[in-house]
Amino acid sequence: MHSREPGCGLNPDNVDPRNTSPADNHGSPIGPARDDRQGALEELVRANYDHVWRIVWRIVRDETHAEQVVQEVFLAAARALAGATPEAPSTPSLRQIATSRALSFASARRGPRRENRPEAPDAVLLQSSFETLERPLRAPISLKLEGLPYAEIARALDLPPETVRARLFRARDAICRYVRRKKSLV
Amino acid sequence: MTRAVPVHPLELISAQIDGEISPGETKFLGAHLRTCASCQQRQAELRRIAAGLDGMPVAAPPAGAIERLLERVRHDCRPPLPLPLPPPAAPAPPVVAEPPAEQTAPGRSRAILTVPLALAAALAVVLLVFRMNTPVDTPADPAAPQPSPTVTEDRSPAAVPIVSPPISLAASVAPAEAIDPPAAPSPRIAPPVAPLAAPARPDEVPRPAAPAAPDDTLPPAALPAPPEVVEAELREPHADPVVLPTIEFRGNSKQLSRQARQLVATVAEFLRQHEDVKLVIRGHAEAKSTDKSLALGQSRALAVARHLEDLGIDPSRLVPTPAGSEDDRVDFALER
Repeated sequence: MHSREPGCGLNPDNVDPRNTSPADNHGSPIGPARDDRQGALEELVRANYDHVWRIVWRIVRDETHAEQVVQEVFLAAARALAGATPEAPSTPSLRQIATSRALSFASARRGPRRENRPEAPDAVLLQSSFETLERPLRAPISLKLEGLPYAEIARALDLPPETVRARLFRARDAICRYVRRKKSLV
Repeated sequence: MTRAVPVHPLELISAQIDGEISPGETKFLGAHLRTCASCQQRQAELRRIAAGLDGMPVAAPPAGAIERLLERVRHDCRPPLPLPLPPPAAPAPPVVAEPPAEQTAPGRSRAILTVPLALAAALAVVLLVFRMNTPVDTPADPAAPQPSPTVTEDRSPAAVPIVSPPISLAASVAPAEAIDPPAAPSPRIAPPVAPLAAPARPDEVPRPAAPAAPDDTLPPAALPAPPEVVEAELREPHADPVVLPTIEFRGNSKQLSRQARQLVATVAEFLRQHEDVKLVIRGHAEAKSTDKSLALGQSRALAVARHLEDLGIDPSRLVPTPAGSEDDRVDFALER
């Protein structure tokens, strides 16, 4: 199963339905004093790193590159935190930046790696099927795997919930077809 | 979730897996499945795939990744964007260089609306404002004193955009050597500006995140290099200064006006002429909270990015990002 750790508790009561997501700070921003931004930022990083990591990694599919993208995400958040409004961005906002950056990065890689492993077991097939997904389909499934409801995914991707639903279906359908095709080659 | 358009039963199956299906749709799906063997089969398949995806492992972050990030944040997180923290008395325009009388910070929105479109477009296309403030003095120790003694926020020059004053005659004729960091609260404060000749070799321009080792191991084409590297390379003696326009937004809108679309088209033209640069699209939004500001800023940046995509720009060259809460606009910076 996933190597997940809960967020470090900015708002421990508020967790997602699968109890795997870090704190959502919707109504209760961290609200650090201006002179304590550094501490707030570090807390933000520690609380959300794993969540952001998983979203980004699923889209980027490469540890070194994912680390770089995650750094950019938090540095963007840091800039926001250093702006005029002295409060930390919440997890939903981080998701928004994370998916946007990761997608931008993934598209720069000029197409997914396609692996030809017809004999691979289901788990490996699923992994490689993910890499064949079109860019617009990768982000919603990545967020869905974080246990987010459609409304949250829609918010992170700036899409209508109906589109999220349709894309999730298209993603799963594409993966089904991929697995079926590969299995038929065995 | 309700909608008038009929939905494919398989989409309903997918939604059912996520528990995001309305009672009416459940009823419809149930009735359909009773009569459709093919969909029953697909239901089982989709469920199996969904469960498989759910159990799919995620790679763990590389060892020390959080510490590397925190280290970088400590050194790097001083706001590198031109977020104005204007002193109460004299808010500085984004590019300070003996501003003409009509160029004042509050007038920026008006300025962009009053400049004739043709002039705006013409000015927008060309003009690269050089940034001289290479971060040669980035402190290695987070506790070390900041270079600007009286500034409340040290403006790390690392990501200060090459360009992006609002499009106006005043901004575009500003002499490059007179440009201060946009956020410097007052001209009397010496910004951390290195002279033009300081970076003797462009490839040796110091990077702001020295401790972040992975930076140096990654392919430069795939990752945004520190902007100053691009600046250094674009800083050819004969290069004309370039100003990319600023796209203004009204209220809480993220819609591009007709005028904004024309300005974005000039940016697209610029990108077509400079195929080796990436465009950082920085969405600003005034809002009550950082969160709202980030969300709206991101949406605006995405709106501009999508329009650039529509105009044929490769999305991999576009980096939309939220940038600040001080204004309602989108501006640009260039990266390699």
